Amino acid sequence: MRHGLIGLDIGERRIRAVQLDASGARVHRTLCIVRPPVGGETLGDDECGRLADALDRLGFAGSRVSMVAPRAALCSSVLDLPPRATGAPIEKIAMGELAGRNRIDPERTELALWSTGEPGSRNGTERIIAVACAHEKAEAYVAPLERAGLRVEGMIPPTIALVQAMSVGRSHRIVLDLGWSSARVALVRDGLVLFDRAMQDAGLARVFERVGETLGARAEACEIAARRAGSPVERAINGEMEAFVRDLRRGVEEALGYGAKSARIDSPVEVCGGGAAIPALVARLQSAIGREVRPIEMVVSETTLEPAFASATGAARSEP
Amino acid sequence: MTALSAGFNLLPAPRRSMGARRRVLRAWYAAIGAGVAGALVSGVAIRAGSMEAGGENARAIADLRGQIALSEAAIARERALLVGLRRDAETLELVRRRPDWTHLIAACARAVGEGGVLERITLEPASPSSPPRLAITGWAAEQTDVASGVLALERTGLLSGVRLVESKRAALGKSEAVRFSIEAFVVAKEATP
Repeated sequence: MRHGLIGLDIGERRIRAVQLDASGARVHRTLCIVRPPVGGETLGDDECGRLADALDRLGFAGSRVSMVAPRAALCSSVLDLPPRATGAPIEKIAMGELAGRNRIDPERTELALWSTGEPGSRNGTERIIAVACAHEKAEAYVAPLERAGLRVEGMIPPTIALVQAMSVGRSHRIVLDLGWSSARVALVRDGLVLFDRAMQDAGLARVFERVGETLGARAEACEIAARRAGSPVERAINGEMEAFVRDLRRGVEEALGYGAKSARIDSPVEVCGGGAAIPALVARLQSAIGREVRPIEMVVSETTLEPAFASATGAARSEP
Repeated sequence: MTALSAGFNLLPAPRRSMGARRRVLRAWYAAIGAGVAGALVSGVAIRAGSMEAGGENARAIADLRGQIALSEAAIARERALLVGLRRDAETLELVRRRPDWTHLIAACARAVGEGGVLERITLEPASPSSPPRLAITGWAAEQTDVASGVLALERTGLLSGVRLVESKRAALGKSEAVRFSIEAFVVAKEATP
């Protein structure tokens, strides 16, 4: 039986992997390993060696990997550019803009961009979302994975990975990815990303590090305990969530405001990432935002995947 | 997705071209292998044809010998490669047979269930007189959770002599829980390949 690429999502606290069969219809294997506390944004040879061993031991087939581009390695921007039909060198202009704003070498940077299909603020332009990744930053992740025997064939922007993980259905979807160190909100229409915003200070760490200090326990342990509805940790979380939820609400409202210019949006907010597993947080978000908030549905054939596997599943579905 | 760019791959271009080169090389190796096999088959066929001719065409036989020599050289190269691959496979097999302690940890976590949390699992290596000894400490909501955890550990089939060393209420943060300590021996089982 042939299998697809191994989709890899390297977070600050956990590494998740998903492999589907060659048709993409069934889940072959999944993996979630906890990273050492010092891991953070760097990826060492030892850690990659352990990851490759774990993939092999759990029965992942082959070594071809498509990874979600780590948030720390990316820079992105929304640009108003002339339509491609005018013959304008869109990639060159976008790369020039991003390089100038982020002080990166355009010769040693990769670019992905797409049109939102909406007119720009200046006449005759259209709105473009551009994402760039400097070779140097990408290599910090790719090189140790390759040294561990994995063959990295793709590096997919996080929002594109999320879109590829979602089943096509409703016209508008609002996705909130709640990670440990940051959050991301995206507005998607018919599989097209219209709005994409990273919120650097809106990660779960902001809540659970304070909860950990209050309870005299490790932040990671508090986060795991909070996944159980009715957990005693819930009381402590509720005391620390107000500012956090307010920031997330602001991000979601910004996305909704952007989308509401062209259409009325009634869709629920779909949550993925580690935060989707915390019922108290989801309930609190729902009451703060004033519309339904629920974990994203990740069904591949008969298998239901946890929402935290959304990005890895999207990467596994990509065809670099 | 309506993309302006051809794809969404942010992998550095030198890495992508390296991957493409690897794919081309693999295709070449496959083609060379198929060629060697084809030469071998055609050599045998020619040889059979020449035998039927009864040795009338000495030049054809010389050609045939030349092709056979080439095929034998190719086989020798492939054999050397096979020796290397077999050595790699043996090494991998050795690594694979190492005990996977994650199964034991997972079994302990399942046994304790949702009524408790594990704090520490310590494994002392086996001695000539004793199997590996396991010490588990953790927290549970109630004493009954501890008791059912001990029973569940016994039922895993991985442990023997499961013993509750300590189980008492203690402060946990601002509330209280039952702190427990359990000892057991790991049942030695032959690793299945």
